[in-house]
Amino acid sequence: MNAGQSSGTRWIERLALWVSIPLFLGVWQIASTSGFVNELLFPPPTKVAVALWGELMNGTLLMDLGMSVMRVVIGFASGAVVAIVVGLLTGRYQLISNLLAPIFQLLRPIPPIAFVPIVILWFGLSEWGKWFLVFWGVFFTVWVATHLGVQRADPALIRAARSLGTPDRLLIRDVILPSALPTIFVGLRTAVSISFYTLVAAELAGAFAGLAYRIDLAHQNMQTGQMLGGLVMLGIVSAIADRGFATLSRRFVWWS
Amino acid sequence: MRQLRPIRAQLQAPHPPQAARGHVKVDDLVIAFGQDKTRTLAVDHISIDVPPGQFLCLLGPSGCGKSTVLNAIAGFLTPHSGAVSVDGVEVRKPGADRGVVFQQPTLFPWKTVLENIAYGPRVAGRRREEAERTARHFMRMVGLNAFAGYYPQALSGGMQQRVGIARALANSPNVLLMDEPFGSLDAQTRTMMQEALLGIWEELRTTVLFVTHDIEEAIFLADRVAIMSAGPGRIIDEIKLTLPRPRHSDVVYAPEFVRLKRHCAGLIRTESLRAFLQQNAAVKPS
Repeated sequence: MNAGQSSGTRWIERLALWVSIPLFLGVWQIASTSGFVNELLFPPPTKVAVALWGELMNGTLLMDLGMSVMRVVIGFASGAVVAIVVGLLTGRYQLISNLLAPIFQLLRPIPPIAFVPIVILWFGLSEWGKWFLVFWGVFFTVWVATHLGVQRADPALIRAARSLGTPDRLLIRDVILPSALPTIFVGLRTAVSISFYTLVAAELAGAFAGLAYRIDLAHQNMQTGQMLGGLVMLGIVSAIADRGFATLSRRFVWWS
Repeated sequence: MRQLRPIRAQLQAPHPPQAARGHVKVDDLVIAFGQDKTRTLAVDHISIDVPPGQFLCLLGPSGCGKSTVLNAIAGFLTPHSGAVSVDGVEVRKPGADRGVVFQQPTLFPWKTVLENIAYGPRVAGRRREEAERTARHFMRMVGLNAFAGYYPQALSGGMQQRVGIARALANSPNVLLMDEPFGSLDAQTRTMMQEALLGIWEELRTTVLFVTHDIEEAIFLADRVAIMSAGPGRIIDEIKLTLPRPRHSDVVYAPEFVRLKRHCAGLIRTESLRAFLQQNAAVKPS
């Protein structure tokens, strides 16, 4: 916000921020209840809230939420850790890069969703299949970011470190990793949303609990309130994850 | 108790006074860049002998290879032929015995001023408290006491460069290699930095090799100025300076200073012109 603006306009700007979501819900409510659209297919927010409340009371909501979050956390964490380690190696050592980069470049463009059928054959409907899909989606994004971050590490900083006596074995820890960290975090944040995409694909293909599974189940029973409720929950969870991650990255890469 | 004395004398022996270390010898150095056809000779048979404690300026037009010589001493480049040694030990790679101050401060942006300066001692295996004590000493020396907890981005260019100098000094190097360290600073800051550097050098008396294209800077700082020509880089003249120390900024008005400046400017102008004509001739369509 510009310092030169009058307090009047700034007050309106702040109001707009508060009004935004209620306005959206209000328009939705009116559109659904006015008979303009079929209320059965497009239930108003009030009905969605009732549906979510019901699920909260009978315990399915928390269970679905827990299962979905757990799948994302496990797949994301394992994918990110492996990708960062591999990215540091391929970014730093030409030999390893020549060996692995062509393979990764070939596999990377395949949408993770396309792997769902084969993953079901490999892992059945077990949790392993879901973790694998999320892992797969996260890995390539974070690998590319790490690889580029390492390669773009300022050679002048590496020179400076070497002239200060840094032995080669400490160069990655002391200079290259911190140099690449801002880029790595951009990759990680993108991977957060990717992990939710792949989660949905994995759960739709077959699961026994989870937010996307609940949407699919509600679909079969024509429970449109539950369906929209599931979408709302997915939106809330991934938005929280994204905001949380933005805060986290500001703490981890405080210098950029 | 008496028997212990000779042992103590021996223990002190590996720590001679600062001025006794830092003998830089560049012997018939040749450095070329590029492959066969595009090959250019950057440094053409240069020899320099810098006795311990001397402040030597390498002065020359841009592109004359003066930074290349410095990079070879720092160990960033391998000579094509010839040798570089410090205190009789041949230079093979970068090391903490040769502190480098770069044109850009190249500080670690994720470390505070104190952490940047303490990094060298830390990586050398010192304990944190000890490294920070050393760091604080040099931080005081460059006048940045109040900025220990600041990150480099929050400092001005001149302050960042002072951190760079303190960081290099914290390793107690035998030689300080400075590659146009004040080149990107404004004129006022540059003068202040030059005076500050002389103050520090007069206290420590380490050997300094200082690369610059600024004639006034070279004469103001150095004990000795080696003037280089461009394309290929050769040393065309050496001047031993007898201007009294400590020097203050008004030394630039002394007749001796003006005479030396005119001499250097003349040499460099002739050389730059020759290099310019040479480049033009090479570019002409064949």
